Amino acid sequence: MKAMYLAPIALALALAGCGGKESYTVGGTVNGLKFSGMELSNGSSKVAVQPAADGSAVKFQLPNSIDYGDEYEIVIKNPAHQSCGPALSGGLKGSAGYTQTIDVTINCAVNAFKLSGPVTGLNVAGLIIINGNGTAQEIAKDAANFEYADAIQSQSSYGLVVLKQPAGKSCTIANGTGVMQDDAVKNVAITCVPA
Amino acid sequence: MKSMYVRASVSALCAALLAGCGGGDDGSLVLQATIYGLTKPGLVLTSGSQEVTASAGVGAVTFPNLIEEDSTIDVKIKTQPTAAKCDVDPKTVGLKANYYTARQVVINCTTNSYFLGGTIAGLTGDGLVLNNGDQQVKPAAGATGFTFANKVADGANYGVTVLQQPAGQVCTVANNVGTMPSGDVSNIAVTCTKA
Repeated sequence: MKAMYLAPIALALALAGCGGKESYTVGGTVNGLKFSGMELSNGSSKVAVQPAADGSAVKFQLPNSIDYGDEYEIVIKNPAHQSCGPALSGGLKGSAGYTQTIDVTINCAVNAFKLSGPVTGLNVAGLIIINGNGTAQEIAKDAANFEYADAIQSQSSYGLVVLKQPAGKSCTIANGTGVMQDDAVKNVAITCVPA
Repeated sequence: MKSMYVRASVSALCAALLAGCGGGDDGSLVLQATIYGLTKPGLVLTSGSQEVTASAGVGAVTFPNLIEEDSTIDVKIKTQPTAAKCDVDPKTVGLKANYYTARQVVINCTTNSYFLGGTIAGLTGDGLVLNNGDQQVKPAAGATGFTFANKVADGANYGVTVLQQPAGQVCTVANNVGTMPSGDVSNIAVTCTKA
């Protein structure tokens, strides 16, 4: 009877003796996390990851350890307004023991969207629009539509204004100010009339 | 007698050749400086008797003459750019010149920046939010002036808009678009009236 218990203990001791670990925690680092709502899972093991107050990198560890040789695959549920993925392609999958520790790096970026809309009455060249110190963009003569070059990050404010009026025209921008939500803004309207 | 002439002419030839490749700095090493953050013209760097001008926006300059192996790398700033300040990274000078150190001089530049703000008339309601792109300022009811917390770089464009109107009022902004001068902007005029 006693021998039945001894065998596994001996095996465990042997493994420990040669430096091998019996169980591995699945964890890593998330960079660029700014919004809440992120959840990482490996099978049924799940952990919510919250952004740091100062926006710095945060560590995560899944609650369940896995055994030597077990496969893992981290599945990402994105936080609000952001998209996250492995720093290294294929880096979310692996096998315990292939490396000394399972330390997965995940990078998150804030989703960004563009501003666009119709242009009327612009039959000369020279109109230049800006958003803050963003791209100073000329809108071409006879343009019927425009799209501002810079994508605006979700939850950031924007205010498109006329930096330079074209000769003989006065152009105004409607719906050019707001806070970017999670979709492109397509109703910014540029209207030019004789000055 | 003849050999004296030969010697003299050989040394004259040598001198002419050396002068052709830049005179005193008769070395074998390319002296290069990497420049970060330079957005303005006018930066002049010296190394001994030679100098090089870096134009706005360049990321690196190479001195016209080669320098000698084992000479001391001694790059200095002779003239600062307009509206910006550059510093030589002290860790990258004072070293003995070799193939690597002669290419690793670093210059860090920062463009001068100034406050952006203006006056407010008639603000009686709470909730006004002004923005310059993604920068915001929230003047309280009764405020007669505003300044954005973050300075704006000399030469950067700005465009201030009303992101959110105060309760019960409509505010408009004048003088709200421009290019940052070499000094604070305080002439943006916000006027609020009853909605």
